[in-house]
Formats: sequence, C-alpha cells, structure tokens
Amino acid sequence: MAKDRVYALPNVTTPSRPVIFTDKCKGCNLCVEVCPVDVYIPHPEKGKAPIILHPDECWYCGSCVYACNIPGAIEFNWPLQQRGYWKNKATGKVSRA
Amino acid sequence: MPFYGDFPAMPDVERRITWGLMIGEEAITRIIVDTYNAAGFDPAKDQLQNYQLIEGRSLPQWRSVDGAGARGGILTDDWNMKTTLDGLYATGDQLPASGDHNLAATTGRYSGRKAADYARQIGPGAVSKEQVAVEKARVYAPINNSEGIDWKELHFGVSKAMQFFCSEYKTESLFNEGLDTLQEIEEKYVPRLFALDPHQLMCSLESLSALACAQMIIQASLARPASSRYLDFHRIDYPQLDPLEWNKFLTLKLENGKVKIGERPLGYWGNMKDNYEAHNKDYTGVYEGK
Repeated sequence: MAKDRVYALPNVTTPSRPVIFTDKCKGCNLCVEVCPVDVYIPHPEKGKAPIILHPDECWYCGSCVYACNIPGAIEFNWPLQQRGYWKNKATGKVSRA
Repeated sequence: MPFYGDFPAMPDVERRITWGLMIGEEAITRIIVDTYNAAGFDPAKDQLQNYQLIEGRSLPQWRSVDGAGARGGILTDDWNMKTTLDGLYATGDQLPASGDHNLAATTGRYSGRKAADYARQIGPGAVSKEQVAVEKARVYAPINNSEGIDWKELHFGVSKAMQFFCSEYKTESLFNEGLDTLQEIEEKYVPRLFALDPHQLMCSLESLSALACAQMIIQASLARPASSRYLDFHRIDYPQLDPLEWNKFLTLKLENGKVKIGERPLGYWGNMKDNYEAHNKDYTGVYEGK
C-alpha cells in the first residue's frame, strides 16, 4: 500500500494578498518605503519584488500603488469581503468591484 | 434596500466634485475610485451601494466622530496651544474638533509656529538620564520576552473589553467592570507582551497606547453622569439628554498615578478674534494685501 506524505503548516494569515507584484517589478523598494504600516520588507535578493510580510495589517490605502514608477508592476487586490456593489440605474443590473 | 448613493441623480458638476474630486483626489480614497472605475463603475449611470447596507447604521460600539468634541481631545487654555505638559503642543486630530485637512493644516501651522518660538526661547535644556532610562525600559520591554502574548492578542483583548463595557449600553457598573478588566490586562498581560522584530515592537507600542486611551475613555465616561446627543453619548443610568448642568467640557489628567477630573465651560476660549489678535501681535496682518 502506497504511503501518502501529509504535511501540516501554520495558519496562513488572511487576507494574504493585498497587492500582486507582476514580473514588471524591478525591486526598487519604493513601496516598502512609503507603506505607512510596514506591510513589506525588501527581498533579500536584489532586483526582486518585496516580500509581503504583514499582509493582514494592510489598510488598503493604495500608497504603494501610487508610489510605484513602473506601470503595471504592482496591482491593488481588494479582499473579497471589501469589494463593493453598484446598480445600473436604468437596467437594475448589479455589479461588483 | 440596500441603500444606494444616487450619483446619476446628481447634476454633473456635483457628481464630478463628489466622486472625482472629493473621493478621487484624497490620498487614501483615490484607490477606491480608481478600482471601481477600472471595474466598470460609471457614476453617471450607476448607483453605489452603501458600504453599511443601510445609511447611518454603523456598529453599536461606534460613536459618531463628526460632532466637535464627540471623540475628545486635548483642551488647551493656552492661546499658544501649549498643553499642561510644558513644551508639548497640541495640533490636528489631538484637538477636540472635526478631523479634516483644513483643521490639520491650520492648527499645525499655528502650533508649529508657537512651538518653534518656545523652543528658540528655552534652548535645548538638560537631558534627564533617569527619564531616558525609564522610557527606554518601557519601550524596549517587549523585546526582552520571546513568548507570552503578542500585540494582536493585547489589541483584541482591549477591544473586546471596550465592546463589552463601554459600548452600546453604558452604565456605571459596566464602566467599573471595564476598568477592572483593563487593569488586569495592564498588570497581568502587558508584562508578558513579546515582540520578535522592530515591526512587532512598533505595533506593541501602539497597542499599549490603545490600552491607555481605553482607560481614559472609560474614566471620562464615568465622570459624566449624563447623556448627550451632541457627544453621541448615551447612558442607561442617566438617560436624560443634555441636562443644562452638564453642558460643559470635562478634563482628565493623571496626577501621581491618580485620575483627576476638571471642567471647562463651553466657549472657554473667549472671543476668538480678540484673543487671536492679542496672542499673535507679531503675526496679525502678515498676509494683508498679498
């Protein structure tokens, strides 16, 4: 009988991805500097996207997104429970961010 | 239901000011506008759902922060904005007023000018090594522990105590129980606070400040045996709203470890124009004709 390996890991904090770094990020760490609550730390490898060390402490203020000089390098990522709704007044169709 | 912000019903200029300028150009709300717009929201066609489902229905433990004085702050009798702690000046959100940019900018400029004047007069002064040592011991205490409770647990513990004892239902027995709980947290759990890195240390210090603020809020609540519509403050044991004899500010001060309650009449600042001019002789008219 084949033996399965089973792993247990400590809880991942949630929400865990306040922003998404794309491969356009050059690791300049400007976002690390501007974040008012120190969500990030610089990546130990130069040129790589910062590490999101305290994702659950993010205020979703967007400072990092606006500080970034490279278009598309960092994407804001609202957690599910914070995404608001709106309704088209003419058709009544409801949409969500 | 739910409630919607009816942007399409607004005249275009009002819509552009509300969505485009007021929300769209404020530092921490710009990301909201950009994210909604990118997802296809069009304020000319779409109604925005109220974030709290029903307008005005916020959590019961929240008090309105819009009314001047509703959330307290530092009262200063001094037209220089100096506090009762010599050399410490109050400004912005520390003052019991609406926390807007205009308040922050004007009081910051005013207090900053006065604080700079004072600093110039008194010089650097002598450093109290004893005081520095006491403060260092307090600030770095959490890094001497490697286990116990972390700042989040402290924070949640204080929050829960406030939700229980100083929330929707306010009464003397609950306040006293709240103070006992916070004292227990201070004596039993704060010494066990641990921080493994500078970030956790920073958060630990914030949580300790939150604990002190929680104690101040309950002490101030106890000191006012009267409900007030203006303060959004409602006590079960004193339900009458705004009785005349309590139309005043209360002050709270820690003196030799004891809480001392004082009071100031409404309008204690006197005539604004006369006082401003009397206390700003070097500054009055600086901008005239410019």
